[in-house]
Amino acid sequence: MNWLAEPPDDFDARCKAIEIASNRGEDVGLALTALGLYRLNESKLRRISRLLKASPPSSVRTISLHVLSNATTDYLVSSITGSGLRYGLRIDVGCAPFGISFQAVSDPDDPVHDAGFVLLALDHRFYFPDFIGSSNALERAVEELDSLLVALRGKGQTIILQTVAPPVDRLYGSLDVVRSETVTMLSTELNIHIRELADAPDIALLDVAGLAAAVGLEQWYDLRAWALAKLPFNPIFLPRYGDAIGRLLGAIQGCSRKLLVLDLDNTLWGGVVGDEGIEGLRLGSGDAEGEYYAQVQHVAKALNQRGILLAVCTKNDEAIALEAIRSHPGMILKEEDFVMIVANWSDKPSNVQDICETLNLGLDAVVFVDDNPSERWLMRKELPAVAVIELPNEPAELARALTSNGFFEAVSVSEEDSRRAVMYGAETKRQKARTQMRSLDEFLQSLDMQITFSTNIDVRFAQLINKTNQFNLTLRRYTLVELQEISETPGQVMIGASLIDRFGDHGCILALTGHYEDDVLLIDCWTMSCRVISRGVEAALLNHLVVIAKKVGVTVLQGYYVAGPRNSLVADHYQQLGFFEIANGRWQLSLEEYQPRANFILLNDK
Amino acid sequence: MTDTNILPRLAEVCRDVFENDGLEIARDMSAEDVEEWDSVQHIRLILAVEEVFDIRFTTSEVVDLQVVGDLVDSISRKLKG
Repeated sequence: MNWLAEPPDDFDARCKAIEIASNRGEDVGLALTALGLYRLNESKLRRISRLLKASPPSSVRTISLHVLSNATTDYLVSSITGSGLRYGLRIDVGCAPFGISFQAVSDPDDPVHDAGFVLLALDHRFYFPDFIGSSNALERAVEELDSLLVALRGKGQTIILQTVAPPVDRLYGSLDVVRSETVTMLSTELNIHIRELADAPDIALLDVAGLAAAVGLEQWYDLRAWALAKLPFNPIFLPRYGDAIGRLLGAIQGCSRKLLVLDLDNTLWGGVVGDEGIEGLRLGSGDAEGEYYAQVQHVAKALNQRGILLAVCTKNDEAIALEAIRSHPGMILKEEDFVMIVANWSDKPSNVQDICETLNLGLDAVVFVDDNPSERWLMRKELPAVAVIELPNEPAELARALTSNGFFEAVSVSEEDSRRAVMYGAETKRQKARTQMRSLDEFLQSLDMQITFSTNIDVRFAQLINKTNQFNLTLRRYTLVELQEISETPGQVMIGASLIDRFGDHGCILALTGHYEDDVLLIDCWTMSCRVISRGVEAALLNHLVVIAKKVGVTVLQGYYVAGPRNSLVADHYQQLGFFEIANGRWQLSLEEYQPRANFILLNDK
Repeated sequence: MTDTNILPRLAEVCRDVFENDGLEIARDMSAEDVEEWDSVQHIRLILAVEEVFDIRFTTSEVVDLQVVGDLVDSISRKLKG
């Protein structure tokens, strides 16, 4: 896990300080997550998970996970909880004692069903207990798994299934991958089945086979640990396993990061452009070092194409930096791939802060990459919410640091993801247009906005509910499964909308959920993408909501505001929409005399 | 490393594993004397000692360890080994 920095020398002191601060009632969420960003061993992970348990900071999102395993789970718990912090989560882990029968899950009162997530931590010893499988070994394994799933599914929980790492032991040799009775081959076949199961929205996949392969099967398996403690793999990989679960759950909860901030010199190319000139840079084929940096750019480009925003933050003269980006023949990343290029001599934490403000992103959406250890140190110190990738001195390993860290983990690919870079590009154009207009109204009118409402609950709808921190009235979070389930119960209202303007398609930009209580429509969630703030979308949505409500005889709308760490933006939201406060944070709007609110958005009701 | 050096480092590991900042250890101390020292923690202790001292115990060593003194001797042997 060398993409994370060694724990700081003052780790102990910082833990103690956190303990004292939390005893005083302070929220230690940021301090704890900052510690989680280091490369912690099992005992340090246990330390921070203990601190987290002692005084749960309200700024860290809590989820519950139940682990079902054929191995002992005692050792996994703190690694999972400690690693969860790295991805912005407090994971409350429950597990049954070792050796408990799997029949227990068919009991609807079993505690396994209380958790939001269930991890089936099963390895090949569960599915294929014999060294060589019998003729129906695969069918039996599939049956066993399926019957577990039958008992677990349909209760609103998300099930995490592990792929099965093949054993390291071979019977024949290479022939083992040909013979269907070998556990190597049985595992492969079973993984195909597991992969198919994972298409369902309530099943997530944890690729343990991939993890074991990455570290090497001979390293992964540890017969002594299995025999002595029923530990399913070599305990030195506990932090790595915990990290894999942390990043997966983080991604499901919408905590994955969104922006990659890159340095230029000795990060995107070899050499210092200000000193060596464009001709002196190592980038591209024909030179070993040049190939490494080209690979870094290939990786960044691919990340960008799947929706990760790229920005440059470099200490350089702007003209020199831009000239190199535009004209070096080895550049794979183009100027337009970067949502911002910041080249100046100010300190980098200030620059990163500016970038986030401009893009309306939180610091916890940022991954920072810089070859200079002192820049990394300063960033960690000044902006502890930023994930700073530790880089090796050997540029050959640079690209790996970008692909192996889990900060950009994704559990689904939505169309918006791949269009995000384009959308942010359009945003820059919009901002230009805005500065050319005399008034805001004139600008809004010139945008030719069109809104389309829908009741479709999809991945993007769930993303809006889970990822939006600023324009979010109640900060309620639901997984896609939960949302789909809620939407099927009567008396529920769910509205999404997409917005188009003359600069481009914003895609889905809002998610609202609510429910009827007699003649009241109570708004439970109201989230909007920060890209469309101050466009009149709120007014258009409220008008739409009133029409829906009146149709079913509702006379009153109610909504509430729950203050969180980052949503002060919408503290006055309901007031601005003409609601009256009837209780602390609870707002009401009578529909009898409601006049549609003016806006410049055309309703597309096709 | 002499035995007198091993004991304080081992004490640190024990405090860490047993989550007990005030824990003091002595050669004749056993699992009976430490409330938190159960079978799960025993394995944890062994693994932590292996990591800190960069050694590896055999299975019989892990099973046969009775008192802290055994552990110190075992570490000492391996470090000299």
